[in-house]
Amino acid sequence: MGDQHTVSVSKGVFVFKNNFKPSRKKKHKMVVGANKSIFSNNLWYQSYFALWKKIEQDIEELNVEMLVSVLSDLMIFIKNSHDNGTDGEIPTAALLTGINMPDHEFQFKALSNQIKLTVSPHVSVLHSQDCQNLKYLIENMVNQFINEHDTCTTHMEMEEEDSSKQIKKSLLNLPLLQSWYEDLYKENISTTPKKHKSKTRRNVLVVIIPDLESFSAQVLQKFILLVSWYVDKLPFVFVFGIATSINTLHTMLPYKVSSKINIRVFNSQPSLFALSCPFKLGGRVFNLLIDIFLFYDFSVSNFIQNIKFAMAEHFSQGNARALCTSDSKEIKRILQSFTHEDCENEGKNETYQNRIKLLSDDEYFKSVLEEEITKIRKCVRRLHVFLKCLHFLVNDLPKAPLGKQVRELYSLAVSTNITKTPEYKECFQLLGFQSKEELTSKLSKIMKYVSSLLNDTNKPNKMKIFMDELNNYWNEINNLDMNTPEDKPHSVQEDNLILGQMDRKQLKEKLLGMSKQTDKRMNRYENLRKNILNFLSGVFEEYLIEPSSLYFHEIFFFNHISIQNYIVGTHRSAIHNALNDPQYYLQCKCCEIPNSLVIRPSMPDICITYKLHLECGKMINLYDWLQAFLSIVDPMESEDDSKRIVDPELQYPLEINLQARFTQAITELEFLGFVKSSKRKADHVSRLTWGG
Amino acid sequence: MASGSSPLIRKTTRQKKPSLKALESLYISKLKHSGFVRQSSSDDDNNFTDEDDYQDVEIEKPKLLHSNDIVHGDEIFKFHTQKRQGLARKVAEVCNENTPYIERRKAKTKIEKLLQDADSSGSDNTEESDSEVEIPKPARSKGKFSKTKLQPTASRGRSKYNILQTAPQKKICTSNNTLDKLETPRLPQYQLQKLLQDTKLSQEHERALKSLSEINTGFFSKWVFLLNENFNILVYGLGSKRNILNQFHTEYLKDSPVIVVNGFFPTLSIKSILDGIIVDLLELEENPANINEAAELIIQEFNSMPKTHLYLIVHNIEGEILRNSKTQNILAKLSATKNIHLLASIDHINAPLIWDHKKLNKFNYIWWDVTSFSPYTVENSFELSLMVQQSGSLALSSLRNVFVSLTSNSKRIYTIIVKHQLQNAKNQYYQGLAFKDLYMACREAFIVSSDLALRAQLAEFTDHKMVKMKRSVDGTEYLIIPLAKDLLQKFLEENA
Repeated sequence: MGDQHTVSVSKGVFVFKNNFKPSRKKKHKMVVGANKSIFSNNLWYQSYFALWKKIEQDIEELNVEMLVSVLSDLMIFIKNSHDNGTDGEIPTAALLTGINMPDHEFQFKALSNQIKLTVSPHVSVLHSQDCQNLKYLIENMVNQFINEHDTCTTHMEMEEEDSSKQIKKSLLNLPLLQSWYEDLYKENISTTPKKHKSKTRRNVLVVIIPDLESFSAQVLQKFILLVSWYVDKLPFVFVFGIATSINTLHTMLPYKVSSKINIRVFNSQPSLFALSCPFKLGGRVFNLLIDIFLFYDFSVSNFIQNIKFAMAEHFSQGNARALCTSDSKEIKRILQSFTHEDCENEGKNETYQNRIKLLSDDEYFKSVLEEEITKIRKCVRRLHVFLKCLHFLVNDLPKAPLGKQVRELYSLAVSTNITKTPEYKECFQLLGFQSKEELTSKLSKIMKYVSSLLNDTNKPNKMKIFMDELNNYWNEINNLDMNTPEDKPHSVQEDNLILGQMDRKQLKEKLLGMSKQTDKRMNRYENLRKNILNFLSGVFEEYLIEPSSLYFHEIFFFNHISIQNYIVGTHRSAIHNALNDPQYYLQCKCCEIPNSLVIRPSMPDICITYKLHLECGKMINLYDWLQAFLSIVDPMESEDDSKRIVDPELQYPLEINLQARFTQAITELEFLGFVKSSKRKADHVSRLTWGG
Repeated sequence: MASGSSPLIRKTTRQKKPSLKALESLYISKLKHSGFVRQSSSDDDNNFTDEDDYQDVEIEKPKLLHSNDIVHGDEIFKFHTQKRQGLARKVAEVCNENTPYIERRKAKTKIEKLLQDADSSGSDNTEESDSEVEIPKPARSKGKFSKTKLQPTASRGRSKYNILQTAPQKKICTSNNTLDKLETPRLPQYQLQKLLQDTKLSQEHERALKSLSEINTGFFSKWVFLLNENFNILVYGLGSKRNILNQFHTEYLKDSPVIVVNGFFPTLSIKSILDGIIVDLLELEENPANINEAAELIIQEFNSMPKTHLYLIVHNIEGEILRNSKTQNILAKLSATKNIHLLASIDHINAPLIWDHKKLNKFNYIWWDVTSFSPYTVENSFELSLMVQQSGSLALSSLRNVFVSLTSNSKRIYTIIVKHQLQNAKNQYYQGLAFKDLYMACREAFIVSSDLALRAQLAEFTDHKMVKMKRSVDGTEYLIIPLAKDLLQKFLEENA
């Protein structure tokens, strides 16, 4: 299986069967959940697997929820599209999806499933890569309509299924579809009572094109014209997924085509997500993933995959990570099964005050661990609750010093103590200027949120106390409404004073004095506001502590920024680095360099040639390059240059050897894409890169 | 949401924000420090549909994305302003550093001489190349660096844009030295391999490479884990990664079916990969000609047997043949399947450009840096290299060898072609010897009797790549020998 087996001059693909036997019987149903991995025996893997399953489920639910709003409108449209005649126009839904291609596949899959379930079993999804020309497109579509239907209809028609599968691809066309369709519904009509008109019974044929932009305009035009001939007999409905804007549809299709379709536009919603699970991302990693999402691909599914990788990385660190579950009974069970090594490994990472005892005494360790874990979990739970509260308070402040979204707050809160940051102080300063209406609305939001968490437990806990306090303040602020009249006469009085006759100077002084006065003296609302804010700030300071200050937080928080290189490869900089500074990888003493411009003769050949080529412009003379290489690798021979070349026999082995090495280095550089041969001048190569 | 049938739908509700262009420039200037001046064109609109994010003038910057790159983007991508030193000076610098004083002085005087020579040697190029082969001395005494003006002086002071504009027109200002000056201008492949086998690394490097590969192999069990979690692994970094992947193959993938693909193999095709799976592995009777259908079939098959895991090891997934987007689409499709796992390597510096985010999403790569510094021996054995004597083109030695084995008549035919080509060597637009003329010449010399016989002879020449046949616009066939004039002259003298 080794090297020699995969090198051949006649073929490039090698198959290693390794006792694999293709099973003849295809249709045995798979038992669900039998997905075993070789890692199944490991504790950490079990936790990881369970957790990931849960997250996957949550995400699924979220996605469905998200889609529901768009889908319901679309469903109604599709359902009613053929109710009142079409006049030769094909009803078309244009779904504006925004550029986010990878996620769309998922969306459209859900869409077609939904349509199949609720509206019509006839759905055909056409991808641009399968439809290079009209023939393929029609074949593909008709195939999907006819065959998919057969698989939908149950096992009763097994024989029929077989026969329909035997229809050759080349025979699949629209007339065939028509006859098939009429066949299908003739039966229905004959079986159903007469008062059901055929029109209402007939299911629409839905054609979904998820990526309209990548279709060739010509194919699409022809297709639409063709279908418009059939639309009276076959109730077609189109759903176009458009990434950019509706204008593309107009530019793609000329008038004669676009007049055949009746377009209605739907906007799909920007996606939002929130996750809740015991596994937490540390601030830096969280920021990184968000950055990748916002600045790289804008793809939710990639984001999810990245989280998955972070999780995998986290759990694969060892069995101790298995403790990262939400169930406290589970934790106890896992702790029981811990071996001594597991304890030791985990204990090593810690800076606990009683370290020696931790390492030596497993039982003690376990008890400490359990204690700490419950502490962390409590702390994290509170962190989330109060972060949400804080978010309600600060999200719409001018300039939003703490950010507008929960994610920004979160990333700050898990990496530092948020209450100590200047942004936090600024926020509370700003909150101090808020009007009553704003404050009350915010308070009510918080109360709503907190009370929604509280409803079932009756025993007094800290949350309850917090809620009670909030209630008190809430009442006070509402009572303030009734009290305001008491304030008013006072101010009116002052107003009256101003109205009294006085000369200009007096008035000025008076006003000045008044303004100073009001500055100093707070009215009741202001007092109350101050109290409320102090109270909230106190609560936040108590609960919004960063988890990294706690012991054993590593079990729950993953904060290794190094995963960046695994998610977003640094292919080019790795090569650059290896070539410029081989010592970085080799860790040898001989290649140490003070700056990147220095060349050492001890470096690998390819590094030397690479560094030499950096000195050149666009074109490089191979001969000169070779000579430069020779004089670096073997500077001693420089003594008598001409002599050496004159009698080659003497120096032949060395010379030719070095040339071979140079040749190899050049070939490798070419292979890597740094140079390529040039036809502009004999024995020259051109550089393909600009910088160093 | 569904907002009627008005065509203008998505106007973001931004209030006071500067024009897009202004934002763009702001954005670029912010990114500049990281060296990634991306193309942020005006359709940023679509990027930021997240309206809440966007109400401020402040544009959110990546906080961490560029913070821990090993190398700053500047160093790789930026136009470098510092003066390039040229090969000669660079060499001088290096040599001066770690040689004893006497050596250094010698080198210094030598280089000074060289540079003087370089200045004086002006336009005697034609003579030089003529006389080179036989009488090397006078030319050689100029030494290694005659005219190493590699950097075009004209463009130094200009801005980068000017360089771009003038690049196609400007003359190449490098020296006129050619490899023909060497004793063996191009080494044949077999000799090269033999020579390279003898080269040894320093002990320290040997040790370093060993520990490097130990680090790399240490991750194998993690790879298995990740592959089983439906990630695919992409290995990158300098040096051949074949050995590592092969080692992984032998150590960990013994019990599952594995397909190894050499992406660098010149006559590979995606169909051969699919055939490998369908015919050799799955042993199915049907084998669709359409690659999309074939891929579908494979995916279907593997979905029906979820317990078998297929491992696809692709060395150089960015290889010449696999590079196109259709092929990559198929590979992406395959590797997105739950029980087909991909392990691929890339080497070309621009390799990641072959994937758009749609494909990347399907590939779902975990990138792994496995810099190994090991030479690309196997990978390059197929590559037509610059310095290697190519099997496709002809060198003197191989010409000699073939020529010896020819019949006397063939030899005479060939000599006619050679002579004709040498006579016309001055002609810049020499197309070759017309077939008709050759036939006439051969008839006159009683070498061949018929058109057909001559063609049979020529077939042998073309098979050995001693002669190239070209058809001109008017349909005449021309014969040309793909060999430099001086070599041809030498050849003729030897066989006169």
